[in-house]
Amino acid sequence: MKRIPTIVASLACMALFAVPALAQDKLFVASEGAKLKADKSASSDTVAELPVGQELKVAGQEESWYKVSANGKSGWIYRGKVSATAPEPSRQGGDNLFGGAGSSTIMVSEADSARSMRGLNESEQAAAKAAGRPARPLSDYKNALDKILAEKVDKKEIENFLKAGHIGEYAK
Amino acid sequence: MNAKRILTTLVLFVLVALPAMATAGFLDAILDPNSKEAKILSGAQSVLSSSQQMDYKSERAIGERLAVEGLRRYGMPTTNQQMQHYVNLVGIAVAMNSPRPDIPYRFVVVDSPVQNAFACPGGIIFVTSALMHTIQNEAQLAGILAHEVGHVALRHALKSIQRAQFFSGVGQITAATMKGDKGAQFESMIADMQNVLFDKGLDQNMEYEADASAMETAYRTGYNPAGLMEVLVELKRIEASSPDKKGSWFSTHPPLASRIAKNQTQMKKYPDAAKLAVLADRFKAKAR
Repeated sequence: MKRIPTIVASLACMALFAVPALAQDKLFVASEGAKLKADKSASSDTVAELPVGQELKVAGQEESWYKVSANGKSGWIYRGKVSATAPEPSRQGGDNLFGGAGSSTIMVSEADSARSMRGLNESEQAAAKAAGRPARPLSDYKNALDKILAEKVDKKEIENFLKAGHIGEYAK
Repeated sequence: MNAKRILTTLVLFVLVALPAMATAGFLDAILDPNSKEAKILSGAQSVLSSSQQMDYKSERAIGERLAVEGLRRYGMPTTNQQMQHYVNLVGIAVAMNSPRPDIPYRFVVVDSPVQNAFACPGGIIFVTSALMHTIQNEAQLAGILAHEVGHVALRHALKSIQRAQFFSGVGQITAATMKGDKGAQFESMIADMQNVLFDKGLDQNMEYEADASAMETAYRTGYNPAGLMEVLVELKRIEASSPDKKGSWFSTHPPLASRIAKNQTQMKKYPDAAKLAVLADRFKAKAR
């Protein structure tokens, strides 16, 4: 009977110290384009591409890389791609940074729904006066915005860009 | 008996708690879900809470409308396509590691003598040619763009206009739902947001939040997180002699000295910052 307080005290110790540590044995993918690599190097083979929100079991850390496992596969992930808490779930239903086809065409289709909204209650004369420039036809601005939105960047190009600059996981 | 019990407890404590504490140490302080930074970055301590989160299409409709106003107010996109594309590469690279990595961001440099950068809801981000001229390397550009991405990610512009009643009745903003009274309310909301983005500036705490988020995002991407602070220091230097304060970073952002001080404090979290990417040469080759 006298053992019970001891056990309770021990359990309290476990609760106090073990639970926070267990919480950190787990990480979440928090970036787009995160990859599980075979070794702690970006040039090693890609074991899997990991979606944002994927839970990871942490086995250790070396330099800027975590040794993790997910869905039965294990490997390494760069520290910049993870967070200790699950990222806020997306609410926009299917949109993502690069669109479905891996390139940024989504901006053009998004533009359609908003296009009719852009021209409401324009006051170009006033805007031109405030900015100290001649007034322009509104179509100029709409065309300029369409061009901004149509700029195409795909995942592969970003990867090559980071690689060329030796940035993050591609650091020398 | 008592001594024995205490001893048992201590042994159990050592067995259970010490390895746990050692494991706890191997994750960066940044990753501690209970740290203040983590709470700020996850939006748990937002300056203003939004009663209802708008759907992305509506957010973008507002953003595109404001982007047109931004072009009218500041200037048209610069014709240097190489620079435009380069700014998009840096911007999207940091956005992928931001607190909101899953929406389509776009970045544009506009011809303007005013030192400024601003973000429209939904992810259309402006930088003026004057600010591009002040920026000296890619890490600095990454810092500025990550600051603006932070405003979008944390939905600052939307939170700064308290128009809950406007959004409550509208599932989605479309031309059809914006007729009559709703249309007038939409225009009034756009006017308020323009005032916030281009004249008054966002709440000071939102700027500090965006700075903290930007440094974290730049660091996660692999850029030296000091880049943002370096631009602020340069802006502070030229502030006195800047002829065009109206609608500029100076009038729409909190005092530079206090931001620089806060950012300096946060730099302590990044002991390996000096080893990270800066890329002055690539910046000069692509953005000059």
